[in-house]
Amino acid sequence: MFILKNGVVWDGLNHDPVKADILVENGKIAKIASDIECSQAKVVPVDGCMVLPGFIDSLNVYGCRGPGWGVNDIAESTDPVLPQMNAVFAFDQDGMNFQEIYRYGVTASGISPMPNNVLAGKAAVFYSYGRHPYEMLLKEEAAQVASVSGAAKKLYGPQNKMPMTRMGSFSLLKEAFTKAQQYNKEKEYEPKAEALIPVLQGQTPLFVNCATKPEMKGILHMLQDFPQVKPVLTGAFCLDTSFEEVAAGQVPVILGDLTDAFSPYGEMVDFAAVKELLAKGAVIACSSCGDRSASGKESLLWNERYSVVQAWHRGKPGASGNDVHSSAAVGCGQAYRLLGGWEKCRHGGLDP
Amino acid sequence: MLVIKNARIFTSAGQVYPCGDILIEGQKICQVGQGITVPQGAQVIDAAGLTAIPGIVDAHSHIGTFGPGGEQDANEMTRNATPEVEVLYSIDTESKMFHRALKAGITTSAIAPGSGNVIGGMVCAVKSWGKSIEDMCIKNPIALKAALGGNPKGVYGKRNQMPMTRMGIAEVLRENYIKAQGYLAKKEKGEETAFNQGLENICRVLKREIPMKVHCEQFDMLTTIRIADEFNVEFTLDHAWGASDYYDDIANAKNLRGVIFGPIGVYLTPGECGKVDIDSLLELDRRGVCCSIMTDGPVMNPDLIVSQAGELVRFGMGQEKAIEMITINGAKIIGLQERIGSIEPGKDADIVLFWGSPAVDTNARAVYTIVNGQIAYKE
Repeated sequence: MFILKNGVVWDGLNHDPVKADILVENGKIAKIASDIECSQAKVVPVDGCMVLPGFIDSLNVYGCRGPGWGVNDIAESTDPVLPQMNAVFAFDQDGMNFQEIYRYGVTASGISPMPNNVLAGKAAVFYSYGRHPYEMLLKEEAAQVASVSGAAKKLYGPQNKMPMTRMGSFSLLKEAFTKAQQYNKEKEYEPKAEALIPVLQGQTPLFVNCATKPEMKGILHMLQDFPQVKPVLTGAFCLDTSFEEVAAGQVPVILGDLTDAFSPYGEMVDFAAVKELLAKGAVIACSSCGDRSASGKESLLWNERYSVVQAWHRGKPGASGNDVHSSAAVGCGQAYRLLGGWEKCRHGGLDP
Repeated sequence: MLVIKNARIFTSAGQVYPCGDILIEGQKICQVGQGITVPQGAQVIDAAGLTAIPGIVDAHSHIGTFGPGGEQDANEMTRNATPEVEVLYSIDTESKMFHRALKAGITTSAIAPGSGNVIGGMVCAVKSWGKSIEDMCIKNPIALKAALGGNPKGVYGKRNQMPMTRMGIAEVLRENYIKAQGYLAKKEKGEETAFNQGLENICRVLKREIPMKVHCEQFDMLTTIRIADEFNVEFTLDHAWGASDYYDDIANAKNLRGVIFGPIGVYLTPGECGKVDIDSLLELDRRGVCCSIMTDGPVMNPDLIVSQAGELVRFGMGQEKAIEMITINGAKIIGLQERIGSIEPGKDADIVLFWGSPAVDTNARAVYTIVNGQIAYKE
């Protein structure tokens, strides 16, 4: 039990920051108010600090790639349709801790199978620090990962396997969903169909890795046949104001990594459109992933504060609503844990 | 003539003007100071509220050598050492990356061959603005590229060729130096010897005309220092992840021209990618080592050179020093400090005007980038 005393608190809900104390009890935020008195609680003075919700990296592979160079447990590249893969079995707490992402204020991350399969598997949300993977596990089956970007065709095309083309990717995706629709468990167990049922029923969102406008429009078109499916567009570099579903907040977006200049997509982002969509009610998160498999602890903040804030706030200092949007996209609600977040601010990382 | 009026100026030459002017004549900086009289007919940029810094020098980059479709012209991976090749001929000056570099405030990049080979070829310095390589290249060569560790191992080891190990890498490097020593000795004695461009290029390193630009991390830095001492050649430590383990070795390395650190933002894996300690530059700087920061472009978006300088500020470095690390220090390390890297009379008029305070404000951005006295980018 402890009190963060005298910080400037940004609640992540778009309210103005207020000077307040935060009482933390049993790992949860118990109270936010001025001058909290609690004799049992240890007082942590945070004068001069901004206190923010822990940052959430919605898409990454922390803990599942490495520790050795080339070790990769998050890309089962043996079959382009493997929705039954579960990130929980790939997650090594030591691998996560080794990345030290908590040093940059990231407290949770959506760990997702890499998008080089058309259906890549189940993503899970983990805390960024801990000693036991299941204690770090915030949410299992937070999403099913699909991909209609170039990643899958680059992998399977040279093997003369489908998908060699984008139409191949869409075809495999549609076929898998159709089979799942017709699936009768009593008749015969089919793990792929089984894994897709919660997606078809809208219980688990479908994270679709896509980059270009035709890919993004294509997936929304295809999903008209599966109206219960709840898509989230990831990568989504070519987002523009024609995406009414996005503007209405029905289809959330996780923007892909903008730090990697090898990717031809990073510079395609139209930040004026992003700004307009947000004003209309779109839910858009930053991330440090995309076709790129992973990057380091600095990347989420770099994406957020530099590439986006710079282009988008145009002169206004300070934090944007990254936390709210990220958590909404992974469906974690407000399961925040203040571990490192405020410490980061003390060192000035986000101080405008 | 061009006059920048009323800017806060970081000169990277030991002076910061809270509100100063810069007079540019032709391609050069003419005068820096307060209250400069605007000559008749001069173009004026009202820079009130803006911050001027020297054009940023990215001392380690590969922009223009990787195409958008995955095409690469940076690594001639047909032999483990190709000292004869010159990256100058691989640079696509029409690449969009040069415009992105300008938008980020980078006016000069040291463009190097990649790290696929133990010896990769000749490095040159290129401005971000110009019509052709003739326009843009300001010095060729500035160094000979070498690479230690996982990169060359990963290329040749997989082919069951040397180097498969770090032992192999050290041997390839040493054998090349020894051959070049023999070649040089023969030439100096006037003995007949078949012309060999690769050995000619290594001889330039042996004669200390150019340094060896060495991709190395962690204990590979010690290998670099040791071999450089053996052959008495100048070198730079490029990437230098894990430098905090070897402060004494680096600070005492007599042939070291400087450290070019980065990029950070790296997915960590034990071994050479396991310790990305940019804060080590604070201590190295205290010990007198000339330190700079790289983008390794296109590995990192050009904007991130300023973000990385910002990380140094976050770790406690002063803003002025952090700015020096992306300007004059880079220029010194690539041997062009007489021409670029600071705002001083006589230097190339390469200047960036920032809205916001670079390396401090998270939303600072370049609004003017001036190269050779011309406005090459304006927001």
